[in-house]
Amino acid sequence: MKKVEAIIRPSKLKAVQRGLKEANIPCITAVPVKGTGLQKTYSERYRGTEQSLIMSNRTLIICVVSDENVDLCVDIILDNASEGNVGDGKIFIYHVEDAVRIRSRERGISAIV
Amino acid sequence: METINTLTAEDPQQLVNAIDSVWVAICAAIIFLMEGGFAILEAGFVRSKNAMSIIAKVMIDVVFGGIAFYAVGFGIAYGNSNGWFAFDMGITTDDLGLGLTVSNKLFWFIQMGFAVAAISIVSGAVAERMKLWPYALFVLIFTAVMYPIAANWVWNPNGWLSLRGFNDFAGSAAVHAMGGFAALASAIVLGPRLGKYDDNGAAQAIPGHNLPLAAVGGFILWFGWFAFNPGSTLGAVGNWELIGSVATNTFLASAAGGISTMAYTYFRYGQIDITMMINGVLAGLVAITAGCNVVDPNAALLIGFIAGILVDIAVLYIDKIKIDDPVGAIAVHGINGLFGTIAVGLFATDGGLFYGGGSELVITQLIGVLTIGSFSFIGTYLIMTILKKTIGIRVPEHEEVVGIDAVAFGVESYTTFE
Repeated sequence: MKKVEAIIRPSKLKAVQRGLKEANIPCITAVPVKGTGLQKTYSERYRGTEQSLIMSNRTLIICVVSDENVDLCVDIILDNASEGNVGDGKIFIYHVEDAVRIRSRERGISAIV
Repeated sequence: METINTLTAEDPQQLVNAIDSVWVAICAAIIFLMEGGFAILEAGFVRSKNAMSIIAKVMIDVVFGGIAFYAVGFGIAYGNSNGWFAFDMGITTDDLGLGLTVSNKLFWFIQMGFAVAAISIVSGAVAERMKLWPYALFVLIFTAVMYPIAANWVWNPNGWLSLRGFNDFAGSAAVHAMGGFAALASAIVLGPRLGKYDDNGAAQAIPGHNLPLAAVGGFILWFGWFAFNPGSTLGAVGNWELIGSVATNTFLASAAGGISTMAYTYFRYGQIDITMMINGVLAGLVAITAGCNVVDPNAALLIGFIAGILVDIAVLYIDKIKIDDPVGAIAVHGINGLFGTIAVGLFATDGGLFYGGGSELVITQLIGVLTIGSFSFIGTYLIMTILKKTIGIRVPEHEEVVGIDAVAFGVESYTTFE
C-alpha cells in the first residue's frame, strides 16, 4: 500500500478527480492548502502596503492505493494536473504501514478497496 | 446654496414639501442600501477567488454610474422631452412637469438610486470574467444615455409611453427589464466562464462560495424594495392610502414568489433549493414593481406566485442555451421585468384585461416593455461587441483560472493564515 500525495492547482482538481474515478480509484481526500514553490506569486497589497512572502493557493490530494495501482494513479494525476508551467505542483509517494476501515474493522488492502 | 432654515412653516405648502422631502430622502437612502445588497448577493454567488472583483464592479456601478447620471443622464431622462429624448444636461431648476413637492435635487437623488440599480443587474451577469475598465466604460454609457432614454419614455411627462398610459410604477420595465436585457446581451457577448460547460456541452454547477452571504444580500434587497416601490410615490402627503397598498402588494408578491419557488423545486428535485428561493423572492418583487399601485392584494399574490415559477424555468433554460449568468440576473430581472409589466395590463383593477378593462392597456404594456427590452438588448449587444473588438472585454485565461482578485487586484477575500 502506498499513499500518493499530490499538490496541484485548484483549477485542476475536478479533472484529476474525474480521471481517478474513471480509473476506479474513487477514494481521495482533498485539502485546500497554501504554499510556495519555485514560481513567482502575484504581488499582493493590503491597503497600500506591499505584502511579501505570499503563499499561493493549491489543493492537496491524498489517496491511498495498492502497490500495483501507484503508477496508474500517478499517471492520471500527471495527465490531468499538468499545465507545463512552473507552479504545477508535486507528487509525493509514501509507504503505508497499515489501513483500517472503521465500519468493518477490516485491515490492510481490503480496507482501501 | 440653500441656507439652513429653522423657522416655523407658516405656509402650508412649506409643510407639505417638508413632509414629502423627509419621506423621499429616507426612501432614497434605503434604495441606496440596495447596492450593498447587490454587492454581497453577487459576492456570495461567485467563487471566493472573484469575490472582491464583484464588489469592485458594484462600487463602479455606484461611483461612475451615479456621477454619469448626475452630469448627463438626469437631463436626458427628465429634461424637456420630445417624446423620445431630451437634450438637457445635469439637474435643471425648471419645473419638470411631474407635480413634485420635493426639490429637483432630491428627485435626482432618488432617481440615481434607480439608475445604479439598473446597471448593478448587469454586474452579476458578467461576474468572474469581465475586465474592469471596459466594464466601467459600459457603466458610463449605460447610466449616462441608455437607462435615461428608457426612463424618459416611461416617466417623463412627455415620454411617448407615459402619454400612451403605460403603467410602470417603480420600474419593472424601465429599471429591471432594462438591466435584465442588458445583462442578457452582455452574457452572450462575453461567453460562458471556463468550465461552465463540459466537452459535451452539458452545464456544470459552479457553486457560489458563501451562500449565507448571498442570502443576506437577498434580504437587504428585499428590505430596500419597501423603499423602492413605496418611495416611487415621490411624496407622502395625499398618498397615505397608496403607500399602504403599494407596501402590502410588494410584500405579498415577494412572499408568494418564495412559496412558489419552494414548491416548484421541491416537486421537481425532492428538495427545496434555498438559493433559488432567494431568486424566487426577488422575482416576485421585480414582477410587482410595475403594478404595485394598480392591482389588488389577491392579484399581487398571483403575480408573485407566477414570477417565482417563471424564474425557476428561466434559470434552467438560460443555462441550457449556453448563456452563463452566475447570479441569475437575467431570469430574475429580465424575464420577470417583462412578465411584471405585462401583468399590469392583465390585473390592473382599472383597465386590466381580467377585470373587464379590455385589451388596450395590455397592448400598451406589451409594446412598452418589448420596446425597452429590445432597445436595451440591441444597444448593449452593439456596445459590448465594439468593446470586444477594440479593447477586449474578457480577462485573459490565466487570470480567469487563478482568479481576478489575485491577478488584477492583488487581494484575497479570505486570508487563511493569521
